[in-house]
Amino acid sequence: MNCLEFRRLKLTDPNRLTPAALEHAAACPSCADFNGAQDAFERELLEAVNVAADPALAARVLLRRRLKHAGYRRVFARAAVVLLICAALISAGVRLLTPEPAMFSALAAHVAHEPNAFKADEHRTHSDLAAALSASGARIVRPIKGDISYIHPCPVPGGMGKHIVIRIGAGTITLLTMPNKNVYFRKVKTHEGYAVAVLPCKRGSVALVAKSEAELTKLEAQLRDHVQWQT
Amino acid sequence: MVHAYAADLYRFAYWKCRDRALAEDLVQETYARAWAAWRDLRDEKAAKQWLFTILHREHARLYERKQMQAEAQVSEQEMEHLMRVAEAQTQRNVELREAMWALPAPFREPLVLQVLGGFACEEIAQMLGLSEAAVMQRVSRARRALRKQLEPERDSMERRS
Ligand SMILES: [Zn+2]
Ligand SMILES: [Zn+2]
Repeated sequence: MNCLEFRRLKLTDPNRLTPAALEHAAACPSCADFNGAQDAFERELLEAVNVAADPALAARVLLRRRLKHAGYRRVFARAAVVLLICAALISAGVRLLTPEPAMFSALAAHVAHEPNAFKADEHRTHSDLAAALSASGARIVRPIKGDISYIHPCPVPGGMGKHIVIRIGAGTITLLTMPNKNVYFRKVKTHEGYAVAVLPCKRGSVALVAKSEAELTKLEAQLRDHVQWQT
Repeated sequence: MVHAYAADLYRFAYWKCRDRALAEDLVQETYARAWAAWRDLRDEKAAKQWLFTILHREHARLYERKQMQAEAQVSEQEMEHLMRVAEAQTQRNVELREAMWALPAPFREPLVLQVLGGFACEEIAQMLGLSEAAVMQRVSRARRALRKQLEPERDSMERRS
């Protein structure tokens, strides 16, 4: 490693120097100086970035969550006790096997919160799509006759996944890959005006989202001819 | 997870919008969206990246327009707050913060994520929807720009050596 490379690396990620970089700094006095000066600057930078945050903020976040649940808790308190016991018994058995309802509302909200994804016109290629699906172990067996208009990494249940929008003949479908979220059965639910299907993949699962269940069924069938989710 | 990240999420939000009330709204919004998926966030590192990414998206969705206004004019309340805070700060700290604000947002944001969240360039790229190369270039250029502005002499000396 030469001095130029060392300095570039130090300015790019000062706390993640490679062994080769550390070796260079140990042998090169001028870069050792640079290293020390940048570390001092980083300490000042951290101090500057650490603007004062109200220590009560976390408490307010938690309070708001409790308040939101409190109203509903009062009304349903008694009924809930009975229901909870029944529900717990049933869901303990079912939950392991099927996607839970909170996941569907989170997925519908995700699509609703990102209208820019529908409007995008990125005209991505099939190899982009294949790469985006590869983390889920899904395979494109036949090219899709449609416009792949959006592919971006997104936070999804289980961690990070890909947010994909494809315009096919029958309409527009959104795919949210969830490589770290396992489900064992396909399940469909409509939430906030979005029909959401969650299907098992080779690794994790994928959510398909459309404007209605009828449209979802049609689009899902078209996709099935082209993509193998579980091979 | 709330106690661990609320303050840093707030700081990230503040460095986006320079408005304390807005920054708190963003943190509240972020957690409101996160509760639904809470159970799924298995490891702490995934949860952290998740939260910062949601905040970034929420900001883009809700406040992009307001941010333009905020950058154009600093509110009186904000000015007052700055004055109060400034008294407690060293001159150096104030200068550095001003230099940070002078950076264009596309350079400031990845730098804040790296310094504040300790995220790697690759993670920041995922969060902001950029390539890793772009993030690497932006954070190093941001650092160069900050040092040049704050230490014009040292910078030119280094350049000569
Ligand atoms: Zn050197
Ligand atoms: Zn998304």
